[in-house]
Amino acid sequence: MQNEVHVEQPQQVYEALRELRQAALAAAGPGMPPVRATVLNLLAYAGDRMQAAEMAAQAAALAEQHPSRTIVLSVDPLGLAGDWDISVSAHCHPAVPGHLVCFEGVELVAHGEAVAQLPAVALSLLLRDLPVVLWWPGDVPFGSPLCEQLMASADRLLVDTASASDPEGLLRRLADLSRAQRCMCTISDYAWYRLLPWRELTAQFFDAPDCRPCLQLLEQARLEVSAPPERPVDWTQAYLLAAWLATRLGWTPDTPLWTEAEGAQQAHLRQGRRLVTLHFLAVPEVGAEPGLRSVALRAAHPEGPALFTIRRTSREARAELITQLPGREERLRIVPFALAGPTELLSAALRDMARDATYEQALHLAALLNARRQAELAG
Amino acid sequence: MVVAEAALEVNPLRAGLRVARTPEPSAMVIFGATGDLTRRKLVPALYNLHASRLLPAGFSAIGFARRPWNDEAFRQEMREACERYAALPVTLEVWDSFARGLYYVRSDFQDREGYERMRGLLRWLDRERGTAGNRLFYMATAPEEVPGIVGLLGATGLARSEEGWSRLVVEKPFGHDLVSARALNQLLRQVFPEDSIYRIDHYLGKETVQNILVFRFANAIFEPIWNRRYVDHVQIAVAESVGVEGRGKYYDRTGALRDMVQNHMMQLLSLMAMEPPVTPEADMVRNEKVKVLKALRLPRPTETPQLAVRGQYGPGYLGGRPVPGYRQEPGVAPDSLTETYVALKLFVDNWRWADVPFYLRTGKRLTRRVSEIAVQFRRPPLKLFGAEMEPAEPNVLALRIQPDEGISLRFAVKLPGLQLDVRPVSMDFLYGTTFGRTPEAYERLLLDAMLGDATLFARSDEVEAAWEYVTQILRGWEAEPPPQFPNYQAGTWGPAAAQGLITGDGRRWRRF
Repeated sequence: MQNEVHVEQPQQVYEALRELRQAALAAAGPGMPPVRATVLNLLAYAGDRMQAAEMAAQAAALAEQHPSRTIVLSVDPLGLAGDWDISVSAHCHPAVPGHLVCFEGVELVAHGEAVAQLPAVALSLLLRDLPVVLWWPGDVPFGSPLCEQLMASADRLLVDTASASDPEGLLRRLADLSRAQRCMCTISDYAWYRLLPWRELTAQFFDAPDCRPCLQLLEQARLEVSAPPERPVDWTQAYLLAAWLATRLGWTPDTPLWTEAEGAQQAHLRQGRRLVTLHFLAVPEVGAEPGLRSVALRAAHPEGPALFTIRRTSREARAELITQLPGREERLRIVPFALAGPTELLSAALRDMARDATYEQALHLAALLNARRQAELAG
Repeated sequence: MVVAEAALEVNPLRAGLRVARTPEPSAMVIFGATGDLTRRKLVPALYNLHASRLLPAGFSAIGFARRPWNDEAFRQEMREACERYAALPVTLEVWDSFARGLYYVRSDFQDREGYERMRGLLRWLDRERGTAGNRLFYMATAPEEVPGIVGLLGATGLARSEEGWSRLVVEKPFGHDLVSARALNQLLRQVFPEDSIYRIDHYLGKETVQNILVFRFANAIFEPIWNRRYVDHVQIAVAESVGVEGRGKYYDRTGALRDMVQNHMMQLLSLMAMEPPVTPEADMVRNEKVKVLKALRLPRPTETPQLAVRGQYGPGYLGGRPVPGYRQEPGVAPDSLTETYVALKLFVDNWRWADVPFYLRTGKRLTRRVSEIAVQFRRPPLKLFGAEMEPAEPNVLALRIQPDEGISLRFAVKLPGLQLDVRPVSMDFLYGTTFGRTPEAYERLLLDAMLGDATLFARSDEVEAAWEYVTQILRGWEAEPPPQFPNYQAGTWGPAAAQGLITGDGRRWRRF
């Protein structure tokens, strides 16, 4: 059940929320007291009203896992001076027998001169003592007053490099931001959560005692990304996964870092004296979702090459996991592997509020790989 | 950056992932693979783990039972079971990948030749599926079969794995009294070392039970008041609305005290009352739980009537429908004296809890299904507000295990108005409203057994300490005249005598 009202001024929001809660109580009837559940403040910035509606819907779909006060912001700089469009809603659902669980949403559109007031208004609506997640998909205008003021009050900045007009540029900006510690908040990226099943399955190969020694013997990683012909190749997932492997396993960039051969870009890293080559390939696929499609690792096992392959088949939403050890039967396993939808990504991102050092290390190296590729291959 | 050379003891790629590690490839042998537990719980839990990408490549499960099935028949039966009972959807290719690891050995539990065939299959799995000599032997059989099976695992050498690890998972009951529990433990330890024996109590796999430790030791505000100075008494309830559900024959030899108190309720009591462990490691946690159980004041037989009430349900109504009495249930003797209800008052004689009564009650065919631990705090020393004749309401902190898993705190507030009227209100945290699907208890426990994490399993000294208390009650009952059963109607909250156990102390049972 959802109740929604429109108000004209920000100062009417709290009164509207109170009335909505009372309406929910009356509608629930006796024996079904509404419970207000909030574990965080979700401050979402939308580029336009359509995106605002989508983001509000995604947050609403998460009510059972991450009930929050959601404040969706968007601006219309050319609108009427000092004018606001504000809708306030209470979403209630019978999550457990005998209880109606409610959480709250506010959508704020600032027109014209009201844009300048938007950060102050948004921050005044936050629930006290609960963490604030600033969710900003698309291009993030670092340095703008709006972005800077909201970031200053956020505990976490959540972006999606894949939805930016320049994903690799945003990746580098995030790395800069993280290194400079200019933002008190921690940084997270949907691209990292899209990699979660890849990281888990890759790690799982090496939980097996007979495969664990191969971690020290890896000499090649081949990362294929789907490249729909209608858009430029997005390498950010591949860079992040490669950087994750490298930072976890102690691989450091060699010189030169990048070479190009037979249409594939290769990055050269080193673990002590041993060279590790990363092959990045874009595979044209009409209609495919951009992102990783396979990861293959090769280790120089003393008895012959050992291969570990994860291959996602997008149509069947599953992955084949193949372990090939020298002199042993091939091990094949098939597991579900549906691409995470927007709601699942948001849920994963909101699950853990702590700083993710593994991500930050991978982010720094991924940004370095990207920057050096631009410098070395362009030259 | 992590240096791989120094990190091979652990998998460096596991840092920051949702599980710190997945198990090594292993083979799980399920004795009693055609039974209800395998069909309803074990294999669906394994499938859920596979579909959640938490099982290792090569994981294999061997069903060991008497029915004339083969691998294909076992796979087909388990597929139907998973379609019915698994939380995650069964899809063709994912099922096929999982089912490739399912095998079946048809054998009598006492037939040594069957164990030899199992050994051959395990060796083949080590070679072809990489299970590396890791074995988990799961006793999903009737309890009387366990000693014979474990004995043969020892005699055939299957209990010792030359390459990998070998573990034994045992379901309750862990004995029938203190003497039989000690005998069973001794027998198990002759074949498996104690740290390879996993006594499963599915209650400990419940998220809300695990949350008791987090609630107590990850929050600083509760621990200072979690003692005799502030706590008036504690109530632990595990009420069931169901009857014996086809287990009449087993239950009639067991009763509520052995079936619920000795294991589930003693686990809840020890988690609630234990001291903080030094670390969250299995033995550190279990050491503290054992201390609580060893501090239980053992009642003398003559004290039993004041400390323990038993009951048995007669016919009644539940949900508006008539239900039979216990003695009319299939498999139950028509003159049975087995208790289906127990209420206890016990004391933990240690520095923290001296003289604080713990009231426990459990029963079948009660009004509704409820499990909770409620800590009732002492009343305010003076009543400043409200009607002077009424005592101030005490604060109550309730940890609800099922249903409506969550935590509530009752406290007093002023009613709006010109008068100074006070009313108790409840502040609720509901698990189900806040976090999504939680794994089934068996998923967690099976994964832990494969990982070698025994934190959520009972150790032999825990089991024996719980039996020591329970056996004292049993002795007291033996010394009493036979009870007048049935003494409560199905669909009520138990026998009238249970009220006296607590009202005699000026307290009352919580209303659910």
